[in-house]
Formats: sequence, structure tokens, C-alpha cells
Amino acid sequence: MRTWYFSENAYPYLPDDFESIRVNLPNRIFDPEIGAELYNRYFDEWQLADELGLDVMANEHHQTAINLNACVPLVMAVLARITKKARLLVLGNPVANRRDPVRVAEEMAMVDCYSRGRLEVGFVRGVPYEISATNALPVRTADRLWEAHDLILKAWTSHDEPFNWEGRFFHHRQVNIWPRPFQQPHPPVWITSTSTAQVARIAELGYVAATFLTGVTRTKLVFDGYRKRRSELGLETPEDRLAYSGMVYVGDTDEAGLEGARKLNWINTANRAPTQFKNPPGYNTLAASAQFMRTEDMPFVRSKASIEELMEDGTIFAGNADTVFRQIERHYRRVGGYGNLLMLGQAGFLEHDETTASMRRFARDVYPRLKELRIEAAAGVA
Amino acid sequence: MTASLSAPERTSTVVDGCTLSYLRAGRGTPLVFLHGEDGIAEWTPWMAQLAERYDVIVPDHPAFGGSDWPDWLDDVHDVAYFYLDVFAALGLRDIHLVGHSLGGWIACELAIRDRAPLRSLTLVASGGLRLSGVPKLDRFIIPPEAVVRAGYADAALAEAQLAVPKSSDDDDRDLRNRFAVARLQWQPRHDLRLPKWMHRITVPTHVVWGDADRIVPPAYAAEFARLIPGARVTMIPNCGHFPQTERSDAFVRAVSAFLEGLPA
Repeated sequence: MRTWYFSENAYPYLPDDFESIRVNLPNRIFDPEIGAELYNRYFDEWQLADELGLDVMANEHHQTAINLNACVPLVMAVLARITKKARLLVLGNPVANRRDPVRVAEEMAMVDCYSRGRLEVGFVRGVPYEISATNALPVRTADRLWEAHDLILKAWTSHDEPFNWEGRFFHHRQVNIWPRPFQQPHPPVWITSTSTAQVARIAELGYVAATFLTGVTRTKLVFDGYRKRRSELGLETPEDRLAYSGMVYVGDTDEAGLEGARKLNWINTANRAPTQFKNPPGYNTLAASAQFMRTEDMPFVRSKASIEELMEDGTIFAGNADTVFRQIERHYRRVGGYGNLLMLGQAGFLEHDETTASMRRFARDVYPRLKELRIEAAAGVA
Repeated sequence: MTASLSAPERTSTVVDGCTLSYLRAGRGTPLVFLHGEDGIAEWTPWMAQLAERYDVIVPDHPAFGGSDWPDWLDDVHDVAYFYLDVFAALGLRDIHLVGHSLGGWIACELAIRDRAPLRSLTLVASGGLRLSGVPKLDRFIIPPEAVVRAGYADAALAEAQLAVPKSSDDDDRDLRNRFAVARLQWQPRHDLRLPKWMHRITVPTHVVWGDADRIVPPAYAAEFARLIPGARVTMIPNCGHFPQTERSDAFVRAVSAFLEGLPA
């Protein structure tokens, strides 16, 4: 199993009574001095991950204090220079909302060259708040994601002459990107999925399917969907095609681990946003939207779950090193195995020394055991 | 006669591969009402009053209510062309076209393209234009309750509407309608080309507005009148974005007076 270290890179110093952390929280609250410190500290932590033998991951969000990285290609470019061995995963480029897929293709090709072929490129539909923050049309996001993907792949792999792209959503004449990617034919591709409908196509293409903080049931559904589709095509599913993100805190004791987990859970407790941003019309299916209206939660999100419930379900892994290993192993087996752990190892008010201590313990005492994990049964539907 | 006018049956037809669900009652010259963002929940008394003198047809736009969501539906222009095909399919001529809010925008696009089936145009608190310096309410950036509250001059009406318990069928219908509005009106929320071509609307036009409309401010009424040759404006006092609901009698009087005053 590979572990990819990441943090959402939050700006947690907010007034107590903020109503919405997404889209309309005034940026007067962002103190540039503090922001600069935070950006540089977060880069230091990614650099440490590389030194510890972990791989690294970054993502992108807009107009929010939960994640300061409004432009993930910039982050990847810095990571390309400050890391030496780590593979660099961007998960992902929100291509359903970005207006210019050719520009995305160029950005990724540049980072792939800077890093001499360590880049792995993820594409995401983006969470609902991003619709309002980027003023993207909430309907047909999946269609736009796939057309953008098709254009980007063609831009990466066309070498002999410019081509025109006149699609349903995107138009671009004379596509002929310089540079082209370092890796041939192109960097490995990942796509996030929380639905079985989406995951079938990802499986057909052999990309890595990733799911975030989805516990056991939904994760297993997505992973089984991937394996089933591959099986229908007469293909195996190597574990490295599947990725799961959970919050991870390794303390020197179980109590210390739990304390770290509480701090990581700021991601859930601070994630307040009004209806019109959480559920823009057309982003989710009618059924999912209707469920949201009834329960106030997005599908698969349990913002009111306790730490204990989240740990039981594999959304949070926390404790001492042995406990964390056993929790990850248990989750791994319950969902039928996966080859990539996206370790959300820092959030909110978790300080630099607390974060790095957990990272070191993880790298020393948990990761070597994770690398030995295997599923005994044959790949396929469990 | 009164019974069928007050509770007509819902019927449907298929045009351009799309099932269009509509309510219809009355006799005489057709009066087609194109609804706004909230769709049509039911036949109302003001529709029944107009049905005493006209053949009133109230469709659910494609993607709204009981109508299909066809693959070809991308924007308001598609809806305008579709309705022209519907008029032809139903054999409707000399139509009094009445559009409210989003329906007004659709009606303008339709009238610009082909005035042949139309006898008159009535625009009620209509969308479609952008008037520099006079922003319209953006229903996508505020909570749904705030949109309801902004719709009426009389706050009690808004609270009454919010207090009505909704069945899960109502919720599902409202949700589907919100999706449809996003499809048609997320971006842009108007057609910047409309002012170039409104002069093509050469049928008699009546612009009806509430003087306390906080969703599409009353300044828009004058703008429509400026752009459409010979248009008349009726401003209804103490009235918000839904004249047909909030000042129902005044609305019916104003609409009827205009239609009856048209030369034969």
C-alpha cells in the first residue's frame, strides 16, 4: 500500500459566530501575515512527508477558509521543486468547473517536467460549494468532466500537428501544447468517485478510483463497482487501482491519538454552509437532493457523527501506532482491499509539531506494516 | 360550465419528442400563460376568471412539473422554439400570450422569432433583460425561504406560503422545478441580445408590474416598454413579484381590459 500525505491547508482562525465557511465568508478575515506563515508551514510538512518516504497529495477549493489552495497547479509546481522522491498526486483538478481544459493540460505537463515524471493527475467533479464559488453550471457536471478529460488526454497525446476541438462544452482551435508531459504516454490518471455509475467508466479506463471519508458501506460499493466492471471485461483489479482517504492521527498513546483525531475533525465541525451552497439545484440527482432536504446532510456525509462513530466506520484512524495499524487493516479488509491510503494528517488547529510527530510515528511504525497488507481472496466481487 | 372552468383536467401532448403537460379550460381566443420559476401548482381562480372569456392554456414548461425533460433542452431559446412548435401542433392562432417572470422571458424570445401565431403579448414582472445598475434578485445565492419572502409586498403572504405543510410530492416537484430553473437561468440570467431585437415584437404589448417587486425591480417595466414599440405599462400598487396572486382582482382587470380593448 502507498500512503499519500495531505492536508486541506486551512485558515482556521475564524470568528466564533461565522455562519458559512464556504463561498461568502469575507476575506477580510484572512490576515496575509498569518496566511503566508500557514502556506509555508504546510509546504514544510509536505517536504517532511517526502523525507519520511511518503508520497504527497494536494487538492483545490475556492473562496473558503477550509482550504487555501485556490489553484492546485501552483501547489504542485512548488512540490515538484521541494520534494525529491515522492510521487505528487493532484486530486484533483476540478475540470467540470474550469473553463479551459487545454490550460489544465499545459499546467500538468509543466509540473510533470519540473518533477521529472513524478506527477499523478486527478480529475474531480468538485464538491457542491465549488459550483457557487466558481459560478459553474450545476447541471451536467459529469458530462463536462468527461469532455474536459477527453480533451486533456488528446492534448497530452497528440504530437504531430495541432488539432481543433469543437465539443459540446469546450471549443479550442489549434491545440498543440508545449511542453508535453514527461511521462509517456501521459501521467497516471485518478478520478474521484462516490457513485457506482461513475466508477464503471473509471474502471474501463483502468484509472485509479478514489473515494474520500466514505467509511465502509459506500467505499465498498464503489470499490466493488470497480472490480465488477473490470471482471465483466475479463480484467483483474490490482489493488493500486483503488484509493481511500481517511483522517489519520498517530499519537504516542491511544488517548493522544484520540486528541489528535478531535482536532482533525475540525474539517467536519467547521464545515458550515447554507442550503443554497450545499445543494445547488442540479448538482446532485433528484433523489440525492431530496434526501438532503430531509436529513440536511449530503449523501454519505455525517456531519453530526461522533468521533467514536467515525472511528468505528473507518473515516478516522486514530490512536497509538498499533491501534492505527489495526484500524486501517480492519477497514481495508471490510472494503475488500485497496492499494492507496490518502492520509489526511493535518487539519484545523492541529499544530506543526503535533502534525509532524504523528507523521514520523506513522512513517516509522505504521507504514512498514501497511506495505505488507494483502487480501487473500482473488480480486473480483466479494 | 363553471365547474369545468374551476377545475379543468390535466392533459398532455407530445411535441418534438417531449411530453408537454398542461391545464386547459374555457372557449374562444386562446390565451397561453407561460409560468415563472415556481411552476404551476394548480389551476387558480384568476385562471378560471380569464377562462370565462378565453380558451386558457397553462402548460408546464419542458423540465417543469409534469412535462418531460428532453435531451435537447439547453436554454430559454430552446423553450421558445419548442412552444412555437406546440402552437402549430395544437392548431393555435391569434394567441394572447401571457408570460410571468421566466415565462415572460420565454414569451419575448418567442415573439421576436415568430409573431405569426400571436394576437398580443402580456409581460408580467418579466425576466430576460439586464438593466445596468438595477440588479435582479439572485435566487441561487440566498436561501429558498429568502426568495419566498422577497416575492411579496405583504409579508403575511410570504409567511403564509412558508407555513403551508408540503407533501413529499410537493417537495419533489419543487426540487425538479429548481433544477429546471438552474438549467435555464443559472448563467446568464438574462439575454444580453434581447435589446437588439425587441423591436421585432410588433404585436400589441402590455407590460404589467407590481410597484413593490423586489425580485425584478419596477424599473424593468419601463425598459420593456422602451424597447417594444407601442407597449403599454400598468403598474399595480402595493404589489410584489406575483401580481396574479397578490393583487389578483387588479391583475385580472388590467389583463382583461387590455385584451378587450384590442382592435378586432
